[in-house]
Amino acid sequence: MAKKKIPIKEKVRKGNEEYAKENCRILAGKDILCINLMSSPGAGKTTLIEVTREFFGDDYRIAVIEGDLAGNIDEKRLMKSGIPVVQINTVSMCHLNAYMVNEVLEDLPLDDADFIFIENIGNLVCPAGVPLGEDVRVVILAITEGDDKPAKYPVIFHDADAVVINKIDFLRFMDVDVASIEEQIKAINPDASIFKVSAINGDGIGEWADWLAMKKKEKA
Amino acid sequence: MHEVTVTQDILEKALDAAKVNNAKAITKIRIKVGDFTGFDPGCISFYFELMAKDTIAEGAVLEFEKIPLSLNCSACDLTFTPEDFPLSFACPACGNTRNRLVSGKELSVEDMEIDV
Ligand SMILES: Nc1nc2c(ncn2[C@@H]2O[C@H](COP(=O)(O)OP(=O)(O)OP(=O)(O)O)[C@@H](O)[C@H]2O)c(=O)[nH]1
Ligand SMILES: [Mg+2]
Ligand SMILES: [Zn+2]
Repeated sequence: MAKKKIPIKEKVRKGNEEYAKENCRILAGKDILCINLMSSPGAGKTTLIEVTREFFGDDYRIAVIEGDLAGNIDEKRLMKSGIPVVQINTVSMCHLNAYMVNEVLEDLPLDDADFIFIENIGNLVCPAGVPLGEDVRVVILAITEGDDKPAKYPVIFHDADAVVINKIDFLRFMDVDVASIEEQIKAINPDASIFKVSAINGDGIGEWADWLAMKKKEKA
Repeated sequence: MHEVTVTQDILEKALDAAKVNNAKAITKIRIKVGDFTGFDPGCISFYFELMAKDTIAEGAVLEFEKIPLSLNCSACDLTFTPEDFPLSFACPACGNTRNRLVSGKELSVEDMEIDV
């Protein structure tokens, strides 16, 4: 038996990149801004989508791809608000990938949408490295998670276009240093837009919605 | 956990290349992994051992080349590896925090050794 060394030189997850590009291509012709929404479980992704849709009213139409390990709780929630939504179940996988998104993308009413939100799996680690074909990457951080998360999970913050600091209404009950959260984000990623909001009572949602509208104009 | 999918990808790439080269066994696979990917080589090796069972890659050694996180300062053009990563990405020369990623996000299968 002879030994032999063979070159491979191939990127791992090259397949994902190709599907991400394909998703981009599908959306490019549609005048849609696609948002990859990432956070730890329960930081308020679905609530932010609901309140954003409420804020937009008749100005913009949104559609949603929901990612969860199991079930369709969030899908049902959004359907109640009349939002077109498809649910992906990843079973055991800790992030969505571009192939999964590609499979359902055209089930959404792409000709009648201005924004597509992709609610990623609740996780501050794994979704960071897996592009889905989105235009903007948004990380939500709830102040109830504590004020050290950007420093502890830098990768996801480094690549974010915006960070939404949510549950600001909890400041009444909790001693959280929001200025420090902002400093940590800026140290890692000085160009990220930062919004302080309460998705429950609507505080700060105006600036966030304006930013989305601006990004959409920039793309078009 | 997310190492499962990349390990699957690594194994598939190795098995594909093995087939093309009529390999009887894969003995070593060389992988480049960037410090800024969040992928843990130990974790990849662990899953690989499970997944490669009963394939010709069973028992293959995974050899990792770690690529440091390297940034290029957009103010003074210095290329550097942040010292107290992950707490600061500031340029050690001028303190600027705007930068471009030069390396650290690599994940690739470089080459492998086979028995033919
Ligand atoms: N007080 C307060 N509660 C909030 C706020 N935003 C979300 N919540 C609550 O936090 C809980 C989780 O919110 P979700 O929107 O379901 O969070 P999620 O990130 O979609 O959660 P997963 O999809 O399970 O990862 C719910 O009970 C929300 O009502 C907020 O700004 N303030
Ligand atoms: Mg949700
Ligand atoms: Zn500098």
